[in-house]
Amino acid sequence: MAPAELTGRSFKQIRTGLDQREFSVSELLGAYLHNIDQRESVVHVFLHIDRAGAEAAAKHLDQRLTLGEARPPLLGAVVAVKDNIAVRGLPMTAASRILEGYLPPYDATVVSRLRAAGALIIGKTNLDEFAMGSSTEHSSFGPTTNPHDPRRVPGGSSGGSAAAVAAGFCNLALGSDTGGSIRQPAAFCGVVGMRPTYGAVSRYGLIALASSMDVIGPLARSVADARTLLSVIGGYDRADSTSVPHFSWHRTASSVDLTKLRIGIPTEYGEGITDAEVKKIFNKSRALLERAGITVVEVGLPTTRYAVPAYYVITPAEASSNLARYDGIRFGPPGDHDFGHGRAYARLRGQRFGPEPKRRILLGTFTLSAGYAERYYHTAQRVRTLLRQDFMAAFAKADVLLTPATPTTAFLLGSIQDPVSMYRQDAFMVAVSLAGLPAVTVPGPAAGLPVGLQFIGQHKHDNHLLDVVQRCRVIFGGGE
Amino acid sequence: MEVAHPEVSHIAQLGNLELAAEERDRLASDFRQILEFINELEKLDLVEVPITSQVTELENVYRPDEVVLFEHHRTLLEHAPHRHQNLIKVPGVFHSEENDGAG
Repeated sequence: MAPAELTGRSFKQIRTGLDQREFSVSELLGAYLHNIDQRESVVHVFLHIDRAGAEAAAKHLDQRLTLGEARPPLLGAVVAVKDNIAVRGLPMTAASRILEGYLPPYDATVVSRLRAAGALIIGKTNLDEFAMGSSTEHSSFGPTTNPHDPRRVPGGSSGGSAAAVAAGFCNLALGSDTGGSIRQPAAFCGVVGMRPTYGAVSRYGLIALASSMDVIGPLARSVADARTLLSVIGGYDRADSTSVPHFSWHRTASSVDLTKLRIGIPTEYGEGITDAEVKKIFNKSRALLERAGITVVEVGLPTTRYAVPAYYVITPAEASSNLARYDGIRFGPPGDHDFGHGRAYARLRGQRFGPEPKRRILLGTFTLSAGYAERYYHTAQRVRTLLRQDFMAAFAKADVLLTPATPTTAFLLGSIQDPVSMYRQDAFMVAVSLAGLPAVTVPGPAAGLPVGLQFIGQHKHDNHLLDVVQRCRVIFGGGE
Repeated sequence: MEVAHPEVSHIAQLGNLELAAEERDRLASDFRQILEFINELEKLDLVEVPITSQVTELENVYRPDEVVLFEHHRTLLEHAPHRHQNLIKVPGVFHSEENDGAG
């Protein structure tokens, strides 16, 4: 079988093929490795490929299939993991030189759940350093490119994971989303990406960026696949005190009555579109939903324009505190002790952190410092309250909200130079993060470069959100 | 708001970052631009609005205070670049007078 015949399939289709003994896990892995050999030098998805480990795991899984043992839900899934999530024995750098040479001694909870469910891990994917960015250009180990056009960025910070799924290097991938880092690259690469409700997935083993917003979530070729992955990695974990008890995931979609469904379109987001193609596809999507009998209503989210500034107060504040642990004492490259206490740490950090972590350390240290915390950090936390209230009011009028995912399609590498313009790329992403809501981006009905659509659900209504998105995706003409 | 060089140097010191002069200038300029951007928030009247610091809807997460063996403790220790037996070595915090310059 030609590799493309296998690697173009969703996990659901692959699973059917494996169950019917149409091909083996080793053959499937071989097809992905073939694609990697062909295109990785251009796309640059991986910071580490575990070829030997994946091949051994595939053989083991094939034996299990032959023996007819119980078949766990992700048996045969080839998964790429963002390099800020710990996989025991594989190097983890979060694309930073300050973690060069670091080998995690344990698996993140999501990774041990993947393994237990029969998945195999093919490698660790590229990201903006410490997940700080929207383009994967700011990796210390070079940028990832968009599989649809190598001159363009894949989005970020989970650009490696999104590009891996889009390029047919794996079936499924894990990313992390603080202010859009799963959803925005999924939109740019034309795949499905989900930010689950904050606390629905354990973060034990995730390198922290902004702890009050960080989540781990799935990237996949279909909504059904994203759901399957989420049902495996989600659920309570005593190792993460923010993980929500009694959170359950449905493995399959339940029926949604489209005639009773109300989809809300936030007026303010429509006004933020700067690209004619995005506007066209967004309007077309809305028309398709209405034609399918769904009620579409306009809703207001008046605090929207303050979401990005508030996010860029809260995130650097939390990041500066989380990044304080990188000092060369307990792990990572060593500081030079000859410089003495204090300076040995500052020198190492000055040499090893890239520009964006430095900006955020400075900004966060400043906005939390005596005399400024009320003016900046507490102000942003008050805006956070307003944003949540906006969403609550909107959800009184609509069951699910629909927005464009990004103001433009994937931009050219190097075209956005100043930090504030890059921050504005997250315009449609960060309010959801600040409110802790679940959201899914799916490819819209576009013919050229992918245009992403974002569906936002109510707090802890992740299953319902997935049900709705799965139905809508079919309406947009996307295969499910 | 104007942020002068000495201030960026002071913040860098608080954040444990040693910056080269050229880098400090560039970061100071970015810093001013970002501050201008986040100062947008001053347009809002927030006097009556409470703070949201977390969105879990959980309060006071407790668990029993039990000792659980972490099986990889030796590996954790091996990650430390400077060690002495089973201890992690750090640069000296206290110095004799002639060494003071290093601290």
